[in-house]
Amino acid sequence: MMNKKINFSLLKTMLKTSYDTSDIIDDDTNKLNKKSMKTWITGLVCIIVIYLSYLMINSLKEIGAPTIFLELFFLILQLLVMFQTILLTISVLYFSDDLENYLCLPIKSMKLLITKFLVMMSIIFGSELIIAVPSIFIYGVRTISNALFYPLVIIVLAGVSIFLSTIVLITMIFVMKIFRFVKNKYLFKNIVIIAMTFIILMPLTNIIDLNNYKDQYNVESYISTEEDNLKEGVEQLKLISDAMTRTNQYFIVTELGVNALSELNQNSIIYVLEILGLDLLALAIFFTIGKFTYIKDVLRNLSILDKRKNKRVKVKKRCKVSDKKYSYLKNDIKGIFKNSTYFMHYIYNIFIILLIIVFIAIAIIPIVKQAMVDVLGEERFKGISLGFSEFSLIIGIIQVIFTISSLSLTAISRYGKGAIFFKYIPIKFSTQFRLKNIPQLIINTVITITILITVKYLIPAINNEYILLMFVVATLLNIINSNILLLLDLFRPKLNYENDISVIKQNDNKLFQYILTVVSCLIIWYLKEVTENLNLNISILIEIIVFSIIVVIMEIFINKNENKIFKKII
Amino acid sequence: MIDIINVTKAYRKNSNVVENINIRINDGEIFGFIGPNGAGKTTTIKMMTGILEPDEGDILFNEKSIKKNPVEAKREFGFVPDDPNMFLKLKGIDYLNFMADIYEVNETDRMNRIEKFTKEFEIYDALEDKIESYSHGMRQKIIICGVLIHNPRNWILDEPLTGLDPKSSYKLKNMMREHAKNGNCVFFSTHVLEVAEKLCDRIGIINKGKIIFVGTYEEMKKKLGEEGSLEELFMEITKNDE
Repeated sequence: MMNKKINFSLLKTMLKTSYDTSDIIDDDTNKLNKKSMKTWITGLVCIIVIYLSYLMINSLKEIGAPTIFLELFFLILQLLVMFQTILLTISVLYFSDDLENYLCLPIKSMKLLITKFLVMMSIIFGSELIIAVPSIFIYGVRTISNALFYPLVIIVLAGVSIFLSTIVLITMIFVMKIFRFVKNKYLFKNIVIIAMTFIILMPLTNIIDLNNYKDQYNVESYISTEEDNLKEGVEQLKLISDAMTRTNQYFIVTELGVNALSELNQNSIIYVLEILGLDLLALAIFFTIGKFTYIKDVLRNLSILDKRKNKRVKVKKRCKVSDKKYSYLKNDIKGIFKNSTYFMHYIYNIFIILLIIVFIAIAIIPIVKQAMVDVLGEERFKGISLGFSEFSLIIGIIQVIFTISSLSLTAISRYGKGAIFFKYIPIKFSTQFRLKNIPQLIINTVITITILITVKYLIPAINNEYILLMFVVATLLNIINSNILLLLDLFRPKLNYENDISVIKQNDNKLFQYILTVVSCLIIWYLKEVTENLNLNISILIEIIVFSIIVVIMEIFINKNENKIFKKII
Repeated sequence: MIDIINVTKAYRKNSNVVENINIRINDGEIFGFIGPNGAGKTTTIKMMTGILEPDEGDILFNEKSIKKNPVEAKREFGFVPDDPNMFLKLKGIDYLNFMADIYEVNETDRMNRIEKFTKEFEIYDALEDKIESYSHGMRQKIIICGVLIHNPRNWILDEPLTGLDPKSSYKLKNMMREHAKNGNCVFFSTHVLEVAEKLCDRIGIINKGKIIFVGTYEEMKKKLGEEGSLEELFMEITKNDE
């Protein structure tokens, strides 16, 4: 029955148009494309994931709690799968550019829905292959000697992903219905994405309850002998593990998956069968609802897209004079918010990461704080002083988080062939350069402020003056980062592309952004090494002077070479 | 007035795409720029508008150099590119306001011009819609309106009639004539030789990066010593050049 519904030629075509693997797999030889930067980036991500997993598994094994890794693995996996499903529901299922081409073909709605679902799952499985499979295999190698683990883990990963994605899809169908009154397509998409994010993050508030549990557990434990500290540490680990278990329970199959992989006996087979049974149930519900609603919703979305209001325009009311620089900037920012692809990749991801940082801060920081009080004692903790190492570490963390955002890296490429517009308008290139950098500077400033508030919340003893100085250093780094990213886009623009997503996904310049972060962190580390023995204020001053000099050199370079740096836009 | 002086451009060494071009487009004149595909038309227009920098020579707009004083020179012209697919996410009215802001057009002028041009091109009622919902022709029209909004003295139009319906095409041609009649300058490239023949005061023919003829249609007939349409003469002159 199912086979009849899948048209493999349709699936193949959709897969090719939905995501481009040509950079990783050579089209001619069908082998790994070793010349492509994308291949190397993928390899690098794999290695980093494997290395971090290895470190974590070893540490947890040493203290006899390796299953915490499984709990954490599934907690992260389910979040990744669900967020990815939200994005794919929007970009593949409901608002894909190719839908119009398929709707005019004699394809039944069910067949279209099944094929789209398979495309989505293949993308999710592809990501899991890079991010999840290596780390869980490392877990298997380091902690388990039972060979049953490996086939089971593959079935569990697939089963858990299918179930979670299907649940998100079912929810998504209802969310689409609830917000159908929103007539603006872009606003509609953004509301749906944000609504879904909150729905998914709800169970995570469970982790926040951890603090209450913590208070119940350790009201009288302000003791600082070594033995008690160890006991305290184990108790805290148990608390975190319990919180993750409670959270995982909300996602039903995750708990089954953890149990199947941690027990590894005949019960594991039962757990796996339960997962597969739940998968079938969820799929049956999804396809039954989808059969009646999918095409209707797609047609509605397309009609929103094509709808021309033909509303009588009140020119008098709409003609307002603005400063040309302000207008230029407003137009640039509007372009990001009105394009859901850009919104999702440039605003939504930052929003999610900052939200997770806040969640983690609320959940974990009080425990870390308490642990520090336990170890140092109340008085010493209150009098904790900031060294240049800690100062540099915080700046380093901010620099690493800057890597998530790459607005300036596509500031020109986003306009495609239309970017020539910037060449013939009467605004100086150096002015345009500065205006184009502002969205990135704003996003990075939001990141900086969030991190610094979190730091202040964690260690209230740090003087506000130092928080301010951290902000100054981070802002200088922000300017340097944004300038370099924009220069990269100007020197290597990607102006010919088929759709908006390819300007982000097939952008080799992202590799340079990673390199930039590594180099910046090395500079921060080097400055720390050189000035560590000096007075803290002097060390910070030297850092500010070094970064300021770099900023000034960049400004001179941009002013002197404004024509050269815009040369590639033709 | 537009002065193209000794302009040369090479993308690779010793391989000039455009070689030593000298053209003066006088005020009150419509100048048609024609040539086969790959002849150097687009490269020339890109150099004129500041998109490409000439290797040698300069281009002046009312004596303002695009090389030495680019911002001032760019204020002197309005450019309609051949691809109208830009700012698709903006509403028509927002795009026009944006263009008016960039060229610092005051409120009264922009109001009057938006109404005048969009009504003339029959896109007034679509101004509240996003440009991405426009047809190719409508996109072309909104781009033209955006250029005209700051009332530039020199118009540079790259294939402006492509995609326009007959009515809009007729109107644009009339507007070009009117603009030239008011002492301004219109430089446009086209593949439609019939349009060039009927509309232009002078014609420039470029082939393999070199200007092979500049003058009126009558002068071209005299030069070739032949009678015939511009199409026939164009075929002859570009054939001779091969």
